[in-house]
Amino acid sequence: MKQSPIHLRLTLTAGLVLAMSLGLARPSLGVATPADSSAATARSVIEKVLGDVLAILRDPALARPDKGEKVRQIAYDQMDFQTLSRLTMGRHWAPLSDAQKKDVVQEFRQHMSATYGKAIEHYTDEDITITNDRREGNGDWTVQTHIVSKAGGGTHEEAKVDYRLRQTDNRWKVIDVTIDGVSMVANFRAQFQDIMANGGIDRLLKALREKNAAAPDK
Amino acid sequence: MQSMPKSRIGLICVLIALSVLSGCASNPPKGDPLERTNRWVYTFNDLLDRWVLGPASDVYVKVLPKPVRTGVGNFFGNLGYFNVILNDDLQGKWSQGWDDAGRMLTNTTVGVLGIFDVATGWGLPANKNDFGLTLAHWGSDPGPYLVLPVLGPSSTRDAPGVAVAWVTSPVFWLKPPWEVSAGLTTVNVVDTRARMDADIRLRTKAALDPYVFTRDAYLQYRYGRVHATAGEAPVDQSLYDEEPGAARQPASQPTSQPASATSPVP
Repeated sequence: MKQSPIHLRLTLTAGLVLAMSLGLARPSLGVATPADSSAATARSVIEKVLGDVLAILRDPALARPDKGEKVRQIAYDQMDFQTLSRLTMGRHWAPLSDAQKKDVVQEFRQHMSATYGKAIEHYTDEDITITNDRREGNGDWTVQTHIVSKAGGGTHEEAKVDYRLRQTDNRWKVIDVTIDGVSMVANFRAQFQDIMANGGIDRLLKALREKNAAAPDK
Repeated sequence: MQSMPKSRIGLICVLIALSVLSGCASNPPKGDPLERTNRWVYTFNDLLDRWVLGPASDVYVKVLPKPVRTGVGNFFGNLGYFNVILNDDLQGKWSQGWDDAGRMLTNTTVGVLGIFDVATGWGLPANKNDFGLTLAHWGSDPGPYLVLPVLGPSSTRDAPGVAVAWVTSPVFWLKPPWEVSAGLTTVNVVDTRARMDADIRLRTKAALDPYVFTRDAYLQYRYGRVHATAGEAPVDQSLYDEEPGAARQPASQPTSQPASATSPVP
């Protein structure tokens, strides 16, 4: 009765929530240390980000909405929304006009940050460890993490979260987050493609704007 | 519903038929051939959730404190453990099977019918396994995406797992009065829904198209689960190509690109 579909959604989204926001946060000083080992750099970016977000989530002085807002505020900087949008649009990216591209990036960024900044507020009780990191064939770097939630005293919801980073202008930024095997880029690409096929860029931008215009809570 | 041996045999026949069918599905789904039907069922599930399961879950969460709900979840998790053990064994994972049997035994006895999860503390953490993974283990492709009424996302390969989970449940063999099994099923459904609450809310916020969001997430998740047993799931590197579609080969990829995305798990 309570097999895969259910567990899927549970793990998926619990992880998604965390991971996204974690991926989004920004190290306050972590700008481009030109180190010899880029491994250390990509990994240390994630290390710093995770530390910062956990500190915010655990800060007893902060109310929930403030946490969400703080995470969202520091979010923008650590994710490369330009690349993210491009990858998510896939083959639909190139034909867009510059103005349309700009709109997509802007709306997508707002949608992502709002959603996940808000979603993360509820989490406090997570332990996160970096389990591995590796260089990808195209020069990207993947940092793998493991989240264990102690919430509810006894239940351990676990999630494996992979961050994929790309170096631009000497700085590693997150270009994808994969939670328990579910890549955000792939997921949104599936949605974007469906919408593009059924109404084109206008419908996509409309959908994003409607999402962004909707009340931030609910 | 479950009291006659005949019905049990029927179920098993259906099960075998379904597994044969899904075993025959030789190509991974590219599109979503059943999309029209799936979207109907999805809409039905969504309405059911909006008007029945969601509100029921809200009440459930309001009325019962968290530790009680944890106990309820543990209880049903434990009840489903024969299914986990069976599929461990069907996949030849004997040692995992023993661990899971130990977990079930521990939690059923020391943990009082599974209400307390003692075993995790004893080094026997919860494991997930199901018949869909067994079929995948023996080479079955996922087949087309399928949305089941009430239960949600599945595939022609994974759907028979629902029947296997059912026939391996003690509730199925013990044949309690129908009121009891109906009651248990109801609580299980509501409890499960309550656990998914944050997820469902997030989906509502995040998804531009909730149907596609869910379908893609399910297929990716299951793909990862299937390959998790054989090491790392292969990552679709083309996803990260700057110009998708343009034939741009990654410069060198000695290790991180396992053979083929479609090859069955050994």
